[in-house]
Amino acid sequence: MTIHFKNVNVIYNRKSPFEYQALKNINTTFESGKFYALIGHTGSGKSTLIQTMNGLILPSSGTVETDGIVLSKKVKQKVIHQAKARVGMVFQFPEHQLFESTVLKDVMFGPMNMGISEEEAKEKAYYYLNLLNVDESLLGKSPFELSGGQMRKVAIAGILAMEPSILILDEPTAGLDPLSHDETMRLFYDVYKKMGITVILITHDMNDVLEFTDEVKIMSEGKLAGEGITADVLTDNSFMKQYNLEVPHVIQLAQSLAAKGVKLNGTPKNTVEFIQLYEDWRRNNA
Amino acid sequence: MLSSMLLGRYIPGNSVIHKLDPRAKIISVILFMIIVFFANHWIGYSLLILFVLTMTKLAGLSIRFLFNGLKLIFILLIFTFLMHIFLTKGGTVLIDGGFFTIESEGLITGIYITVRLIMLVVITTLMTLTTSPIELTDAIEKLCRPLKTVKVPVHEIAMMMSISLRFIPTLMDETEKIIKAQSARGSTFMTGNLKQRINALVPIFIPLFMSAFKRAEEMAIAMEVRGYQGDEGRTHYRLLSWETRDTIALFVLVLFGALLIFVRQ
Amino acid sequence: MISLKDIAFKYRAEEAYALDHISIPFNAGEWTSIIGHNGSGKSTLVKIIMGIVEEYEGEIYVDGELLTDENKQSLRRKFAIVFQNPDNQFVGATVEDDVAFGLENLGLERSEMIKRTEYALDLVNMLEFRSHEPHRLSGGQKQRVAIAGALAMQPEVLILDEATSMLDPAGRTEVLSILCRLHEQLDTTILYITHDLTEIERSDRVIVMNGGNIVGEGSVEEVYRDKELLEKSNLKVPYTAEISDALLDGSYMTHDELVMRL
Repeated sequence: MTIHFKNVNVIYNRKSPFEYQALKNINTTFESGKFYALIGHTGSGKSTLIQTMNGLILPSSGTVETDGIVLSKKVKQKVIHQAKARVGMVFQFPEHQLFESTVLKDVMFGPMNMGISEEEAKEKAYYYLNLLNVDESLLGKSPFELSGGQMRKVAIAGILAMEPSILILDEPTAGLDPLSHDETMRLFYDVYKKMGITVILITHDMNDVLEFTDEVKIMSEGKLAGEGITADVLTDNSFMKQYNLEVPHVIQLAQSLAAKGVKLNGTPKNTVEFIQLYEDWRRNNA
Repeated sequence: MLSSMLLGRYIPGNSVIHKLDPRAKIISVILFMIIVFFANHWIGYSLLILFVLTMTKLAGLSIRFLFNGLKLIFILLIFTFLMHIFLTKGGTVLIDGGFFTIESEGLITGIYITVRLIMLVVITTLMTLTTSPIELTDAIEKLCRPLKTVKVPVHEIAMMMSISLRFIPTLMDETEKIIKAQSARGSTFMTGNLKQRINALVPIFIPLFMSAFKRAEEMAIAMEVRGYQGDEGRTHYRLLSWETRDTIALFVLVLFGALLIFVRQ
Repeated sequence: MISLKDIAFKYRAEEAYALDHISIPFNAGEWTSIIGHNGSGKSTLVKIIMGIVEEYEGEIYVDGELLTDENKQSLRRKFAIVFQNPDNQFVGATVEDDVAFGLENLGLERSEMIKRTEYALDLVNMLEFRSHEPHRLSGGQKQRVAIAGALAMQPEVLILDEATSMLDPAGRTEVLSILCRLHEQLDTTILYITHDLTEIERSDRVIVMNGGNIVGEGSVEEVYRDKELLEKSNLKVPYTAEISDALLDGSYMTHDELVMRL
């Protein structure tokens, strides 16, 4: 499902000394079925931007349109509810939102709020918990008895079970150790492939951006500072420098090698691809 | 609306009032609460207003700023004023509206009581605006020290107050995050009957309590490993120092009280 | 300095050992990193050293002296720790109050507290923020204040228990560069607990933990090179090692060396 931003402005605390414009005239489109990265520093407006997609924050002016659902300044509660059903949002440290007496019930909470019957909600809960490798023996347990990693998976399953057509991930791997980080990112990528949805990933990790996303949008001071195909943006050194973004390891390597005369055929997305591209080069230049 | 509220906020500054010892400020506010009742006549009330306006200026705050920040409270005060106008009887009838009358006693008492309350609210707000919460806690701890002899855990209470104050912004942020997360899952807080609305609070309060407990536990450990063992053998980084200006401040206030008694009729 | 002898601990009697009889000496002036995945026992180790957990088997020596119930108060003053969550260890209402908190507990003279607070805040480049309240600081800044609070106690060992795991990349770099400077300029003894291999580059010695045991020990290079050990311990192999392993001789190298050799 496609999201269109048209002249979106968000101003907090209007007409007070604390007035602050979080979004400045945003015009952009998130196309259906693509994996996006949304990057920018703290306070750049990226978290305001995602919250306008499901009506947690309404634009002060302009519109956010998702397949016929139009969110604007004066929109009815019912429309916002519809937007929430389409846009699933995994916040940072999502395990902090668990509250039900059992894992199963917690996952069913979202779908049932969207008016799905208990039975169907249960079915979905089973399916998505299974998809995220949460062991079935845990479903009757209190979510607070689980380990941190399991809690996070349960919380994520709770969002997926709402079967959104747009999934927003706000630093979903914050605080995880590197191996769980990789596991979680791959899991999201599988879910993305399997469900055929649009995914928007907010992250500081440029290696993830390179490996998983199709396109990148960069926010700075409330404005959309740039957008484009991931590999193009991340190899644009002057742009990366301007926004103080860290160039992914493999691109750094590829660029240093290119300066030495080792020109790889393409931009590697991760270490495995880098090794492959390098081996190809070695074979061709042997 | 909430962000322009001034109740309980602190605005850093360098005015005479900011520099006063927080104990002097607390004692002054208590004294002022008594002094306010000395006024019983328009001269007295005018002096009260003059006094409070002078204090506001001394604190380096603009009257308009203060007025805007206290609007909500003033609405409550107008209500009190109206109550008196309509319900207090005596003196000459000013307006006879058939089923109600407004009499001069009512008008005068209404004005006096409202002025009194406004002055109390403003002076208390002046104290909180010019004193950081930590200074206030320190001052309360020091002032209540005598209660220790009757086994009131003064230090512990002050420590609790100061840590609570320190966590308010953190917990506010957290509450907002949880509300947003649950709202994104389709939880509705604004619709339905009372029971439904109360039920909708469960998904907010449980995570909030869980996190608050976890924070408390981690905080307790962090305090312990930094050697905290209660009041015993503990020194204080923040020093409250009673200066001449603090004594002068109290003296001025007492004089002002005497003046009010003098103009009483 | 600190020396652990045959330390063992179980959270519940029927469970396996969370720490299975381990012995480690820590040397003064060294930066020792303990690396392990969640549940490897590294945090339990910290809890025992800091006295948060008290029913352990084995012996702890501090400067050659056995830690006992009688002397634990005074001996533990030689350690100061920074925890993971920046918010949950900020006790004071402002930056300087927080740094002074530990000093107040020590019962120091006020003039001494002021001196130490200023010195410690200066070390972590936070002096200009001294009167700031915690909610106006970034995560990295809060952790720097926590480090200042620890340093002000003038400990012999500074312990960091996953102190950067909740920070963004900028905050992480901030904290690590402060630690490097402290270690280089003041010879601060550091015990650094982490699950992230990319953070141990500056350490003098690395201890790898898994399942409550010490499964490896050596220099950063030795540990980076031991791919088998890292994989067995559920740790992520650094990309440089992965590439070197696939394309070169598998020896440890930095990013720049990798570029040179390829």
